[in-house]
Amino acid sequence: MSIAAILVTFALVDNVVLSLLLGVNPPQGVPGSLRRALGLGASLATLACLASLGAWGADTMALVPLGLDFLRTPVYVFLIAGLAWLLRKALQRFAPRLLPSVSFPEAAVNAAALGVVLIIRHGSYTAAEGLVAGLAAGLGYALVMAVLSAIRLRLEVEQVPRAMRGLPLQLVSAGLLAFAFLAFDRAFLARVLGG
Amino acid sequence: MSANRERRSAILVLSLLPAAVASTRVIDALFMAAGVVFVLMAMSLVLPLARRFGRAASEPSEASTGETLPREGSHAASLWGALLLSSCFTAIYELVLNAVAPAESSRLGIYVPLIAVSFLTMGRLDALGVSGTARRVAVEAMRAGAAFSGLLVAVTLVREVLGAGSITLGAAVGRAPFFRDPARALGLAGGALICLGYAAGALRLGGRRGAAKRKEDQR
Repeated sequence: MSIAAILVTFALVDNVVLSLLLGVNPPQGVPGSLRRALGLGASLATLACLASLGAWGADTMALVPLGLDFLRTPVYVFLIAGLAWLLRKALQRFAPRLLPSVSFPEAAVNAAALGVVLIIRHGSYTAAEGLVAGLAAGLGYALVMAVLSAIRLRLEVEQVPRAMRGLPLQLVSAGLLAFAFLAFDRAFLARVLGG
Repeated sequence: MSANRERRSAILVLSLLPAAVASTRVIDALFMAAGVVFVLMAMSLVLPLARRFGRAASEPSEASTGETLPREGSHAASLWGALLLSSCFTAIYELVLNAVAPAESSRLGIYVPLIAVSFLTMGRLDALGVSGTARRVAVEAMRAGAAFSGLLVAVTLVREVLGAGSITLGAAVGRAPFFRDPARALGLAGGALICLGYAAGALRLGGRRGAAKRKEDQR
């Protein structure tokens, strides 16, 4: 798969939020500001890129040669949690001003990163392709979260039934957005990118 | 509906998201629910034991150094411990599912490993902080697992009946057709989000009505 195809696939076709339904954080659901949405996207992109590299290394150097494939889940979970912890410590030390907008380790981002890493490893992507896929997943996540936060702000001033206010309406909106994203299917990808 | 109860139902609905997209048939939902219940129950049985051993191990060192561990440090240790347990139990379920129902295992794909970092599973971390008995923790886990399973199966049932016009319960029962022209969009991820949105609304409505009824009864 070409780099452009991987970028489009992970950002739009197999979007983390709308296709895999990962990365929505309880209890607030969708972030309330564009800045926060972009911060979450940057967190996921960084974490997924590093984790895909780490998972590729663990697979090719230890798990597969030693026949320990069954340990993939604990290894990946610990890899992602460890990376998230390290990134948080690094940010605390070198760029503490960024901490409120990005989020390490946040459960939603960690789960989304695990989902992306699992897809990358199941698809047998190379290390470089995994890096691009992680970056694209973060971009797609930021895009969808930004759109959903804009929808959320609009809906806050609308009159809706009390039971549907907040999370229920956010989920229905996300569902309709997911149908809109079906326009970016594999046939579209093949037409635009030629394969 | 109290804020705590609302938060709990939000966590329940959001933890259902990945499981709901993986479960397009009732049988898929049953296997996903079984995985979550297994991990929750196993964690609830092992966590109190780990907590007890951890406390026993830390007591002599406290006595010898005259210092107590910082709370933040012990909380971080318990987080890592719970993460280790949840990922190991999920790996065990993956192996069992692969041996018992390999076709179902490949259908559910990446969503089985994701049980390890599900909000519901990670919510069990709260159990570490609570000084409750092992029995109380197990009962809480059972309640959470039952609520998860019930809602997942209900949402999948609606999606399968309306989206595929059938109910699939595996080889034993087979496929019961209902109608020929179903709304296939409900079987997609967008359909799962819309169904869960309405389910969240219904849960909130039910909670409010229940609270109002209790208030009236008290009067």
